[in-house]
Formats: sequence, C-alpha cells, structure tokens
Amino acid sequence: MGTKSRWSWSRTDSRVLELGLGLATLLVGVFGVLLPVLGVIGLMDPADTRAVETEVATRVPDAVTDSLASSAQGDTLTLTGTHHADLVIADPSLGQRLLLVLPELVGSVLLVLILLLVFQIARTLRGGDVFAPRNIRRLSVIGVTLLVLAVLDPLLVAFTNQMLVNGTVAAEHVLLSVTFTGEFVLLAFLILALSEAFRRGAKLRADTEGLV
Amino acid sequence: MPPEDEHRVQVHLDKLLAERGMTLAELAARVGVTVVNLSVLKNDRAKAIRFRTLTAICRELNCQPGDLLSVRDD
Repeated sequence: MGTKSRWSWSRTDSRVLELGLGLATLLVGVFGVLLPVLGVIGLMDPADTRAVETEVATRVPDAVTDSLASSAQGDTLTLTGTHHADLVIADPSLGQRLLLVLPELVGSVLLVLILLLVFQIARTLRGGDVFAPRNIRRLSVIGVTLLVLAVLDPLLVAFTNQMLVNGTVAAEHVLLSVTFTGEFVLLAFLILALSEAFRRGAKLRADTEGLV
Repeated sequence: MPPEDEHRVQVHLDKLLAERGMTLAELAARVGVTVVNLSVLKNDRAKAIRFRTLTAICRELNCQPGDLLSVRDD
C-alpha cells in the first residue's frame, strides 16, 4: 500500500462514459419506444408477429418433415418438446398493435428510466462525489425498477399473448407460459445492496466532515 | 444511534490564543494541522476533533480539554 495507482478516473473517462450512456439511452428510446409507438399509431409498418409457445408436442421421428424422418430412421433417438411458434396477425387493429408491442414498450420505458438514472450517477463522477444522497435514491430506484422489469415483463408477455389469441382458433394451442429470468432478479438485489452500501458510505463521509 | 440534532459544544480556542499571545497560524504549525482546519475548530464549525489533535493543542497551549471545550446551555 502507499503506492499511487497508475490508473485513475479522469475527466475524459467521465465524458466517454456519459457519451456511451447517452447513446444507449437514445438507441433504446428510438428503437424500443419511438418506433413501436409510431407503428401502433399507424405512421410506420406495425409489428404483426409475436413469438409464442404452443402446447403441441414435437416428436421426432413420429411427426416431422420427411428429411428429418428419413435421417432419423433406424435410430433410437427421440426428440420431444414444446413448439415455439410465431403468431402472425395480418392487418392488426389498433388494440392488437398495442398488445403486440406493449411488453417491449414497457420494458424499454423502464430501461430508459434506468439508463437516465445511471447517466445522472455518472455525471456526479465529474466532481468525484458519488456518495451523495441523490445517488442513493437513484440506485434504489434502479434496483426497484429492475425488479419490476424482471417480474412485469414475463407477465405482460403472457397476458398479451392470451389477449391476442383470445376467441380465436389459436387460443387452445397457445400456452399460458410465464418465464421469469433469475439473473435480472439477482442483479436487482445486487443493485439494492449497492444502494445500501452507498447509504452507509454517505453516512461515514458525513461523520468525517468537519473532523479536525 | 447517536442523536442527529446539533451539538452544543463550544470551543474557546480564540480566548486561549489571546491569553497566550499566540496566532492561529503559529498554533497550526506547532500542532501539525492546517490553519483552515484550526479555523474551523475556532469558529465552532467542527463536528468532531481527534484525540491526537486535542492532545497536541492542549500540549501547545498548556491547558486541559475542559479549558478548550465546554457544553453550552440551551
């Protein structure tokens, strides 16, 4: 210890980070929010496809294309599973267009919020004062938002899938499937833990302020 | 947890300095802290003082901590 680190955070590093975050926010805003909204209101080609899971089981070699069946003939191999299918709606109505993009739209809005908060935290690096009460709140909001995103997004996908196929012949084949991603939940808890670390760091700094 | 309200500790550094005919800069040099930090202490803007600093101030001013600090009545 006692030797000065050869690498230290510079103003240029801050600018590069802010530029990267700004660019990421812009891209998510354009491709995740603006373009889907334009598609819903009819100013652009709307989304008309949604990946769904169907309850029809695939069996190889029982029910497959000729090429697959012929290649599997004589083998003891059996492949079973659930189909992943594309639900395509020709000329979707306004409501269907909204349902098609809703999960992506909500996810992107929450992602933009997270990126904006990270951008604001990154800006405080300029002054070297990251243990600020504002950053503690921002980190808490990021953690909670990520948690909401991890839970809400799969629910929205499942809900909108059912809404889209409700009353159609496809309804009996499309599974009500909700898949939660554990990694996002873990990341959310890690960020919430980091926010608590920031809170304690800020308190420690406040304690040493005015120490003679 | 300690109470978060303002403290009522008063520092009598200016009085002690005047009695001994010593300047703040001179005391700072002898104690080994900056004039700015000692000025913070003198003007009651310090929130805490290290025992090491307190010991050095008392040594240079030939006084006891009770001569330097007192608790103000409400």
